[in-house]
Amino acid sequence: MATIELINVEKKFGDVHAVKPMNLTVRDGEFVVLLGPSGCGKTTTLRMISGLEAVTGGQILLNGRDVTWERPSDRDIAFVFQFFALYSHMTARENIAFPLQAQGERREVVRQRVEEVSRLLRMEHVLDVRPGALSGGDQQRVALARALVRRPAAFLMDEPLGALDADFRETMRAEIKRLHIDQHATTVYVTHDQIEAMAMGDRIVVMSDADVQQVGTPAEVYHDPANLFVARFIGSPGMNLVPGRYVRGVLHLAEGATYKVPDAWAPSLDAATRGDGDLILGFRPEAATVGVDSAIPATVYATDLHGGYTMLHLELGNNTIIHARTTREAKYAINTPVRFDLDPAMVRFFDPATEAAIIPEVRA
Amino acid sequence: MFGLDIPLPDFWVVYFFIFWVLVGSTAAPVVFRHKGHHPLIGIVAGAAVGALSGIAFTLLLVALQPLADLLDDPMASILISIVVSAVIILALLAFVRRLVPESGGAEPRAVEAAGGPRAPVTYSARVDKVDPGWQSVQALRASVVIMLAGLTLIPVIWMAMTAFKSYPDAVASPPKVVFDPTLEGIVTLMTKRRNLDSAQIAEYEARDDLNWADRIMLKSGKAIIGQSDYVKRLRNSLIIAGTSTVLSVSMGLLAAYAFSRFRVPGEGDLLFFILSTRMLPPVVVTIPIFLMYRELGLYDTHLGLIALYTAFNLSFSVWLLKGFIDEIPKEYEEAALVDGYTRLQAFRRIVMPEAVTGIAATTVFCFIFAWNEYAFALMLTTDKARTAPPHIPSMIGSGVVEWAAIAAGSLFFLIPVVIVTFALRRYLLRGVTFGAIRQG
Repeated sequence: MATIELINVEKKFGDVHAVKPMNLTVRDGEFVVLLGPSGCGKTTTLRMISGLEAVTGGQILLNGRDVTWERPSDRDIAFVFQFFALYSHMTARENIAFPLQAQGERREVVRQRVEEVSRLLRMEHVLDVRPGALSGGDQQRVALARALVRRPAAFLMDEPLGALDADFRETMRAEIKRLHIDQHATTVYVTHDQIEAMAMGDRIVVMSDADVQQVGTPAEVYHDPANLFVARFIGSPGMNLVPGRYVRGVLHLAEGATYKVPDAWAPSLDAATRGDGDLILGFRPEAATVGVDSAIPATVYATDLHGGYTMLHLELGNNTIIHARTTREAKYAINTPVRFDLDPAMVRFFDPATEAAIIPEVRA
Repeated sequence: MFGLDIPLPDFWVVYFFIFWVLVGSTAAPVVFRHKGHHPLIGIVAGAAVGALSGIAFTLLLVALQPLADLLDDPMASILISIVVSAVIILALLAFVRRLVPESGGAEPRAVEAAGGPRAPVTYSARVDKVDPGWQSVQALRASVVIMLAGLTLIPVIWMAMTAFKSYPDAVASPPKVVFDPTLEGIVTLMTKRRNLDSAQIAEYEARDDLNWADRIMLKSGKAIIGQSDYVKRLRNSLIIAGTSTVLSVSMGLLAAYAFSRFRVPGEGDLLFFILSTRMLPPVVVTIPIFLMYRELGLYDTHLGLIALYTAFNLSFSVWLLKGFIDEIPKEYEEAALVDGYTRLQAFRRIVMPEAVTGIAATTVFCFIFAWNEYAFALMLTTDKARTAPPHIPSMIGSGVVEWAAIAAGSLFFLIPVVIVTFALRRYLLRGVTFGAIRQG
């Protein structure tokens, strides 16, 4: 298997950056997800790694070897396309065998490898069917098999589940994840679906506006977003973000409500605001607990039952709506005044000017 | 031909006769199959019913002749005959449907016997579920469509028939549908002849070294003195049309691929420029091209016509093929590139098979154009490179018009186009390569 290193890799179309200079190291056997809204440059990044798109700057190293200007065929990587790109004039078997034929493998070897890989993906029964007659899931399996059969150094997948139906997506997600663990294959996976990214990635690279916003494990990007974009983008709904004015240990929210910041945060916030300044308070819906004598007042704007839990939409005044998770038994009428508290370990603060997260000096 | 006093040419009588037989033999088997008989019985019975209706039609025409004379217009009597014979055939078919007994021992359907159908069950296969009356109507509709399509073939059939007629038959009025076929026209087409006087004819008849062609010609008082130019013209046509088609399709394919896949500087202008070569009728530049060709020594050469036809077809093939290649997602080749193929290999292994429909269509169109081209072939060739289109009308010559020979020449001229189109028909069906990529 292989490591992939991107060193200041960038892509420009004219004067416009499709990908701003980025650095990334994908370790051997790691599953890295490039996550971001459409048009953020994640697919372009993947295509540059594969060699289908030429870089306009920087270096790409594969196992320490500089492949920046090598042809895609010489890089020993496999690419799974969003719409599978199966050859319609060949049967599934011929599709899977196609990369091996490029290497000039002997016929028996080809047959044996095709059968191995189709057994692995449980798709022996569709080998002699043409792609047009296959279901979405089976087309996906053929596409995966075509990537796997060559035993490449790394896999690049461009939204491979994007074209599947919702229930198939769940199944294939698990299948790809298992495959990854079995094969210990270095994988770079592109998606715009943050649930998919959280579920599959060892590490997530969050991208937006052609730039890397944060690189981290799913837990890191969820709990410690590096900036407001990541905070909003990860999670459904995203992180609650409440603007306020920080004055010596107390955050003044809208309409007189105050929130006393946890003691552990006070020194770093003092440092960041010089004791008095605007801040954005961020917390996940599950960090808020509604209680009778809690600190922050709000009114119930709406409630939705999500089966396992109830999502409360609370209005803080100033039209700021925040989301809070409560048990599914909890029932609140609309416009009921409630109060809620925040788990001190789960609050985060952002600088409204730079949009970046404020890093605590001592982790709470 | 039947010596009947009717307002229609014999041909139409034959046409309607065939029509009713076709209607009968397609509609009746439905009933027979439904009732558990062998459909072949139905075809025979239906043909008989159709033949009866055809005869009825003819008799009606004869019977209604006084009406046609009275009105001084045969249209009414023809229409009445058509309608009445239609009613007759429908009544006969209904009668058949009533009278044919149910065959008790209808084989159990495979579905029931084996717990599942042997072949995929399509709508049309569900005879058990479809009303036979409705199916008969479908068969009837098909017959009507076939006969209407047949009408468009009549000129071609007429040409084929004329090719085998003797001179008196070819110029007979009213035209003959039934005639003694002869190879006279074909022999005339292929040979040069001279006229013999009666003494010479007698002398020739006495000889025993004559082959069948000589004897055919001798009947009309002519002796074969050599081979005609027709085969040479046809060969020229094949060489010129074939080569220019191969050239324009292969060059067009490469150009279309480049336009479709690469960022070509000034792509729009170039494509417009290529298209603009078709914006004036080519005939208006015949004189300049004639002068150019004479200067360049391309006059009356194969190369000259090949270059000209290739140039004409290239614009067409670039545009047509670009459309087809644009439709092939570029991920196809990218997948091949990543999988270890070079761009040329990917082009050959992926793009060409995927674009085969377009290539076939372009080939057919280019070939037909180059094969049929008349004006330039007439202007730019005399003998060495002259193709068949300008040659065939030149056979009209002086004196009598050898219609049979001209028809035979045109008939042979049609064959290559038919072969090319027929050979490529599989690829002309779009459905073959559909549905491999999911548009999410």
